[in-house]
Amino acid sequence: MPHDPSRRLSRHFFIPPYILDALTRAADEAIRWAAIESVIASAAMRARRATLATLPIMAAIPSVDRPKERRIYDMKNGTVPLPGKLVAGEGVKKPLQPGAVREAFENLGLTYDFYKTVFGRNSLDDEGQTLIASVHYGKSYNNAFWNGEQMVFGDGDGEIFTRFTRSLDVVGHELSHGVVSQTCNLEYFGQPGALNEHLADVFGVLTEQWSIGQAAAEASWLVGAEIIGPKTKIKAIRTFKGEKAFENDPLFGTDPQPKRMKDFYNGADDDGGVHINSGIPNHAFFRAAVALGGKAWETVGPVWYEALAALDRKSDFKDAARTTGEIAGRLYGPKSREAAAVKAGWKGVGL
Amino acid sequence: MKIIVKRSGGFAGPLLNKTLEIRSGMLSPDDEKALHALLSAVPFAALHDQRFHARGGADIMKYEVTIDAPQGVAAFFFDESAVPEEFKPVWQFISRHFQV
Repeated sequence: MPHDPSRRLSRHFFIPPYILDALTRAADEAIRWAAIESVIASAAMRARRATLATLPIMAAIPSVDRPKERRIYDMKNGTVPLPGKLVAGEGVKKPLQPGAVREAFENLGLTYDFYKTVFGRNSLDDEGQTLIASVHYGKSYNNAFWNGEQMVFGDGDGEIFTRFTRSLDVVGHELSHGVVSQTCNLEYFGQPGALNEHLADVFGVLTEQWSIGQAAAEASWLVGAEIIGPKTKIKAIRTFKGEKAFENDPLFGTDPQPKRMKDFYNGADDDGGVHINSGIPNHAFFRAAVALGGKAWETVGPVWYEALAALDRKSDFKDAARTTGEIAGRLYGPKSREAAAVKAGWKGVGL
Repeated sequence: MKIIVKRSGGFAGPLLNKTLEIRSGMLSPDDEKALHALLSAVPFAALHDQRFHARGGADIMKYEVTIDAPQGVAAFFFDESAVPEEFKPVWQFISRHFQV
């Protein structure tokens, strides 16, 4: 596999304390004072960590060496204040009954394991950030979201949608928004927003495929199939394939996602089509993955993972196509079948 | 009195767009009285035309609210996790009585 997990994508960095200590005695006054200021800042950060460690609500406290750390909270059908009551986590000793708490705990764990095993990434920030999720949010709440600090999952209304925690690709999607926010941090509007949604979908479905050892050719490439309730006949919310996830449904109508640039949505709804136009890069990824065969997290997955660090807040579809093409060329060789498949995938959607 | 709540956003995107319309007579007399009392405390002029966005986040529901009541008229927009403080009591009332 071409990806080197030792290459971190995180923007965070640390100067080891022993070097800082030596720099506080440097002859150069500017270096000495900079080091002293860093030591003071580090002490303040340690004090903050010590204080936060005593609180029931764990903020995201980075630590390079920290192992997997999950915290699942119960909102008991309320919406404020987040995160709710702590009900599960590493070190919380109680058996988990079947249901949202256990699903969130297990699916967060699988998503963490996917990033760690496949890409060597230690949590959202690559520094062991605690994964926080609140379940049973609201009454019959038909949504799951990432609020910039944690994941939130509704139970669904039991008719259109069931519990959002049931689906590994949905949990992987929300957690991947956290990874995106720690890397390229694509703004949530227009093409950058659609790329944000695309990357969350990509790593969501890859998490699911990895968890069951499923090859690209065997995968469903559906998003949210497990959360569809009994009152609708749609098979999923989105599909990476070149078809509609649903058509002429009495409740939902027809899947609005385009698969090619010629059908690009230019309206203002949905933050400029973030969940609509993500269908275009999703389909490009699918085309590349299926053309290459094998397991997508081993072929195109590393290319898209490296793109997380190479893209920026304003990147658009053309940037993503160019960047993934360049990364595939660097990882596998400019004339490799992988580089050709990535370029052909984008070309197939009109980019 | 008329309150219109247009919901958009969310994991499923436009699939779950929804419009809720609350009119006089839809609530019990006691509940309607309570809602009017809460509306009396809303600073309509300050909220009108404002947009309240959450910092960061993705897949968050968004709400566009239009109120036409004896107490005042306002139209404003907020992300789920950025409900304007002055509107929270009314929002909690609406959330308790209607599926938004």
